Amino acid sequence: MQTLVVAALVLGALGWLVRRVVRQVRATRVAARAGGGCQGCEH
Amino acid sequence: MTTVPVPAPGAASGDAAATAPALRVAIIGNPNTGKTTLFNALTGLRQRVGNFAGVTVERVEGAFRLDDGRRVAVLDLPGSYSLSAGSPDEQIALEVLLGRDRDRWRPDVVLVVVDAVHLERNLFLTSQVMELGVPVVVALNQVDMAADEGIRIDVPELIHELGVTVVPTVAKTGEGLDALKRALFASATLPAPVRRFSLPPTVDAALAPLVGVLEADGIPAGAARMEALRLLSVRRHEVHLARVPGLDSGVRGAVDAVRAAGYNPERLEADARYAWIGQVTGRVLQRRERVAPSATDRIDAIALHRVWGPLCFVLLMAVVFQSVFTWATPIMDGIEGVLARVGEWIGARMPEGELRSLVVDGVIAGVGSVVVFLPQIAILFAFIGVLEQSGYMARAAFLVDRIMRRVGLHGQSFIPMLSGYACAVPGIMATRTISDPKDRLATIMVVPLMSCSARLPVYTLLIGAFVPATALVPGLGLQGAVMLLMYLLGTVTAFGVAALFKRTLLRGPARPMILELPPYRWPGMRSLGVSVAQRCRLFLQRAGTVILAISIVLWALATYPRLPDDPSLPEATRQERQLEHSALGHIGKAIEPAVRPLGYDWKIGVSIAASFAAREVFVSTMGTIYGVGSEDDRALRERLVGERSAVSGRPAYTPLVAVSLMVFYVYALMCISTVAITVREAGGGRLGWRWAGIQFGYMLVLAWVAAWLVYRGGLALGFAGAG
Repeated sequence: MQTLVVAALVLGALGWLVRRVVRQVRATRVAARAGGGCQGCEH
Repeated sequence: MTTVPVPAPGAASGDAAATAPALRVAIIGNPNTGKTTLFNALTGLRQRVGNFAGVTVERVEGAFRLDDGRRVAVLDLPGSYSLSAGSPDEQIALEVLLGRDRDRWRPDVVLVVVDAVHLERNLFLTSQVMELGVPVVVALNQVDMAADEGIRIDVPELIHELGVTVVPTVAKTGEGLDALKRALFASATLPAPVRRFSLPPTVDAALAPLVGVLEADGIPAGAARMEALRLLSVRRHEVHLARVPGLDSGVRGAVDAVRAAGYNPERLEADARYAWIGQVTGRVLQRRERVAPSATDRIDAIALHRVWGPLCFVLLMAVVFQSVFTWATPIMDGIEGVLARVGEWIGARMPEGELRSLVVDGVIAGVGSVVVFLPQIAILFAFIGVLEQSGYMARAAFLVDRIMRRVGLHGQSFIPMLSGYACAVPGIMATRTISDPKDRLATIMVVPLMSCSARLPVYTLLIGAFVPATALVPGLGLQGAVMLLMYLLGTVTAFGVAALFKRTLLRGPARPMILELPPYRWPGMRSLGVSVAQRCRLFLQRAGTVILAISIVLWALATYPRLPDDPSLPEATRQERQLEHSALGHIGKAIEPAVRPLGYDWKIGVSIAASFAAREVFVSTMGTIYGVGSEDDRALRERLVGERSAVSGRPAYTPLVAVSLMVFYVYALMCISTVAITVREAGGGRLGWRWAGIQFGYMLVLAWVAAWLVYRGGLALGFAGAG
């Protein structure tokens, strides 16, 4: 059971990080095409 | 000074008013007029405030409600001296005010914030905005400071001269805000103001065809006349006019016709507006002759002195950095104590196993090792806030302007570089105020060399662990001096690299900076608290999201694959062997040859690699590695000092290794967000990626070479190297 929870947490964290990077790259492309706007990072 | 009679609010009230469409207000004004303070005071938002030009770069939107429930949407536009210079932020303002920004609404009312101390200069922008065909309200801000300076403004006469409502305000204290809110509503129903001066008939005739071209594209009559006059001296094609048919030939025809009429087209707008402004100020402005120098003059005699000025600046910064250590240590110890107890408490209540290890060794050790630095972030930004709001940072800009010009950078680059001390992302965005594309790109390339707040945990971890807390002089210790050295190293290198770019890839002339030195002010405690709280919130947000997720992943990498347990070996050896057998250990060992020449072991190597996501991750990775790899629950600083090499038994990390590592972090661009923003701001697409690649590459090479030189130089001088 513990192993399952740990696996879920690790995969969840990894998935979240990958999705974040993909979103940031995509937002950068869109913003660059539009010539402005926020890229959606936390700043 | 007389207060302005403001018309009473309209009859709308109750539920009907609450659901009524919002009144849309755009705020514009010269830089450093208290525009953002006024925006914050109106909307209750938390925008950053500084006592220097160029704080607002992006459009920021907020809203407030009147007592009767009516809602007002407010858009804070970047500060600009006029609408004529063509820098990216001025173009943003024009697009919005002319209703040609597809992403933003056109305002019902424009609120022009005018600095009462510099009325003459501020009226230039006001006179341009007044011609755009939108109702205008003028907030005559900082009237208290004008009074202190002996400036008296006849407000009813000013209203008469401008033909718009003028409300005296003190944004910092909230004085005049109620009257201003009512005036905004009342003005929305009034006719838009018109140009208050006339051009010679021959000039009007010369501009008429161009006005016709602009009107044909849907620009209102008054705005078309303003644009026609403005375009005589503007050399670039702005986005909002890009698709106007016949514009080029129209502008060329107008320039020729104006010249044929005997006027200088480049100076016509400035001459006409300032002639009118001179008449207005002659009627409304009275200045008391000053007999004694003001407090600002007396402070500036030292702060801007050729010798004392730079000395004061360096000393002031040294004291700031020392305070970061002295004041934060007791709070840090407290946080460390709490985190250790939380770890123990959770450890005692969870059954032994992988989940407990994940929570205690991964999450608490990783995230906790970063969160500990919160007091230092708060103290540093409180100091920076005081320096910004008091007006001292503008003096700092003056002091470095000479150096900036020598390296070929525009003075406008100072604010982006200053913002880089907080974070390179807003710093790079702030380069939009720079009108010359080469100057802008050169600034973008060096902003990440300014030590940002993400480096602070790395510096303080290493300085706290390896630099003794000895006092050099009262109030300044060795720890603060080393930290100051790291910040100076980044700054000086930024100037050097900028000089290199300006002489090679981005060759171009240096331009002088027009710098306004505002009078010194006491910082507003509220806005200071707001900016510190905002910084702390961002820091904790990162700790709770990115750093948490990375800590979990790194814990897994440091824990698996499992090595068969060998009970015959001592616990410490078993854990060390398990760590080396893990995926993280293998990655670290693969990286080790690249970092060995710098005196780093595989643990530092893998922490550097992980910190490509964000620099603070270096600290959390070290926290996780030491959380997984040992039973020792002392704070990370103490563990680093106590770490011994398995081979030689000597200390694994020495002060020399720590300094080499700090120098590496001064230079290395370990931040995905910065790479992304450089791609975007350097032109996007292939061009953006090319510049981001150059930036990342040169910073990595610089970091490695500098760290190597420090380490090898230190060894040659007899300092102890890695064990």
